[in-house]
Amino acid sequence: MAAPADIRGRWCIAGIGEAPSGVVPDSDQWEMNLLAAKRAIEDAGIAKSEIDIVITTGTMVYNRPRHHVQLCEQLGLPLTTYTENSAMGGAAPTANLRHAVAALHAGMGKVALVVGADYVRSGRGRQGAIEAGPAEYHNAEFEVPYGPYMATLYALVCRRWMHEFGWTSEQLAAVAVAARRHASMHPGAHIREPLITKEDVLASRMVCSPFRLLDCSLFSDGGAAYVVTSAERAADLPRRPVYVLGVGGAYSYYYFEKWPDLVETPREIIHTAASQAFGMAGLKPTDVDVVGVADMFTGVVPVALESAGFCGRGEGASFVDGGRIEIGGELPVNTHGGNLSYGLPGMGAQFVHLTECVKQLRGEAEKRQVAGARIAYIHNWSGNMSQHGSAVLSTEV
Amino acid sequence: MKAQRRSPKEPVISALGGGHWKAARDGRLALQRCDACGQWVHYPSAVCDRCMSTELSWQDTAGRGTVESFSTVYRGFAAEFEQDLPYTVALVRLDEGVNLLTWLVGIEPDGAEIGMRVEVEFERISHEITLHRFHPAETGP
Repeated sequence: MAAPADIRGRWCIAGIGEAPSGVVPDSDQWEMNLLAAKRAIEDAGIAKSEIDIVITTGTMVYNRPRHHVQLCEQLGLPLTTYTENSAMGGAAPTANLRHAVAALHAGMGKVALVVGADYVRSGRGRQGAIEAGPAEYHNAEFEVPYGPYMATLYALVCRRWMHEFGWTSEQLAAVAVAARRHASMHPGAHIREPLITKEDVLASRMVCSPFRLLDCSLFSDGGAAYVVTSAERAADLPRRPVYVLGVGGAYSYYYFEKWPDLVETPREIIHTAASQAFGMAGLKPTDVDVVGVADMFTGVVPVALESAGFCGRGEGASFVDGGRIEIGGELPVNTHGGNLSYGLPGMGAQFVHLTECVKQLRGEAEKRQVAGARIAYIHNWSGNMSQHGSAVLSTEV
Repeated sequence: MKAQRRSPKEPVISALGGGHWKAARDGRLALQRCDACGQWVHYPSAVCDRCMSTELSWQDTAGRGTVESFSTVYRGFAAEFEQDLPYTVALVRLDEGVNLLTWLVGIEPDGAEIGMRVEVEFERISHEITLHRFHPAETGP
């Protein structure tokens, strides 16, 4: 692969905005997207007329290909030069950051607005959201007749990692415990209480073995947005710029059945994206202070961290155990509470994973603040782990 | 197997998938194979994902494989599967090298093991649809 252009530190996140989260009555996906966008633009302190790049990721309740154009219309952005509904799903926070930076670096615009928000919990209901996975993303001919749900397919992957490396459900439970503790410190989290213990996770009912209820994420409303512009432009804006030091992406098989190996295939995909981001940043995992990573199920967090190089082969489960990933631990992960407790709002599934990291770097995470957080790593993916994005952010170049 | 189990969600047969379902009605597990390079191709496709040949034909597999992983589903996500609970979804790697999503039968819930040898059986769901399931192989590999 050709080396990407040296974009390190040239572009930065100048503003962030978060939609209401949890269960939001009497709203719709437009309001979620618009509030996130409005708040990001206002946070950036930039005139909306300066925005010429807009990237959205669609929604699970209003699946139209020109979602991006309609959003621009409602935001009062009558003429833009680069817009797309990228359909990056869960990967969108980092994948679309990469798209925005690519467009900016190519000179196709000067200020980018990236939005990801949805209304899946209230728009489809809890049961409707659960059934949306099989109906829309799984293979109608060869998967759906066997009744797999998102949890079932991820269970297949995580069980294999557990088998290969001797990981235990008790170790994975530490991820749920950390997420709930973090959510308890976030006023906007979907489920803030009660605090839970590993014993609570292990005592919750089995859903799709090896996943129990508390190993699984929520379905929520919400999402977030951010504004990306040049370091030069951001210097004149009110917020402390959060520089994009590196971005990476990797795309692979759509269906788990196509993977040559349930351990090595996801490891390679995640590693490919992560190593691009770290390589561009000139940093390594041990430099990172705070992490935002996909956590739709507990077991995927050690898979993601190990694959990105935060620990050695097979060490993922022991790495996430013992409080290491909690605030106050060595590497706080998903300090807002993640998909497990903050929420999972459909297509905007992990935008708050990124905006929370920006808050951490700007020193604005309130009770959740990680002391001295300087470098953040974010990794997201969508659907069946088919699309991946990674980013390394910092307030220092 | 119970003869008249109510049908779960029926598959949507794709334009290219007819050969699989026709074989299943006859109790054979057939997948596409590339006439040019011998690659087994699943899901059904218009081109071989190795050599891009468009010459693919349906061939019977031996119907034997190994459990790559499994998950027993205890919660009734959708009404169609309510009376099958708990059921065990598995990823089985056929000896031909292709992975299939399937159900394991003839085992207790969570009674499977990764690496277990399994062989195919079929359950007739309707006039048109017969689904493959796998049970533990009775003899060695």
